[in-house]
Amino acid sequence: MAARQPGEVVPLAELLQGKPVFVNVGVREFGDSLRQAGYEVVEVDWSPPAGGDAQLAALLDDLL
Amino acid sequence: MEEPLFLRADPAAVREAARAQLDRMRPEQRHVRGLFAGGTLCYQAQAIFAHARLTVHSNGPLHGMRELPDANQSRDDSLVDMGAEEFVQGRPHPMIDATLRRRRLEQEGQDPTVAVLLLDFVLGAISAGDPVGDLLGAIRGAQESNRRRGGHLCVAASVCGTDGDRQGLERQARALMDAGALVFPSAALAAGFCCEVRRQLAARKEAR
Repeated sequence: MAARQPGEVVPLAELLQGKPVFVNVGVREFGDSLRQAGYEVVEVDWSPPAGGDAQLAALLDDLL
Repeated sequence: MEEPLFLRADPAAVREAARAQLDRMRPEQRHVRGLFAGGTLCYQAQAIFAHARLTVHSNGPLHGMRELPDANQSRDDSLVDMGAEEFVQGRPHPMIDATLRRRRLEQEGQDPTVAVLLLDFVLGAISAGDPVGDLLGAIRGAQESNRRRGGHLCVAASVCGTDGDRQGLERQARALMDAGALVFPSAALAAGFCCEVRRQLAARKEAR
């Protein structure tokens, strides 16, 4: 697929004409099967912003 | 929403709550049965059981866990992913269509060896309009079956969602609590509670 300029509008039909490039957000393993199938995968390093609840995590640790 | 007991980060209170549940059970009640609306929380629960050095059966077993020979039939302690391939052939996912999970819950309610049901409910745009309501009749039915046998069925549940979700976190959690379920602030903690119940059940058996 030809290189695009940022913000360039791409007609929807064109998306299916070339070999797609995938953007995988978060868990890297989700992109593995695509890589194995020969597709290019762009990884985005991301994790949920919540960060968890330290008190509840401590409670779970204590229970286990 | 009034603060459920389990929002307090107090391990002693949680252990005492587990003990209170056990006190109402018959001796043959000894198994945990988790019926999950999807794989992620089923795997998380297995990881928590593994951390507690407890082995369970599952239709999607993590390393070290045992595979259920028949996904339709629980065995000993079982954590079942009701969203697995074998359950979604020709029908919607259980987050949308609760039919199979409801039937499985009814089945578990008939098993006199079941002590705890572990349930997860996931809210949001891609879930059913009333996930808890879809199972409430079956939950009450399973509890009633246990009462008739002279026992008590512990129902440990979690609701993953917010009050911004169309189903309403408070409304869903309240419906569970009104039915006598113990509602935990996370699926992980609900699984951790089940580990504690499982340990107490084992200790009770040894003490006999």
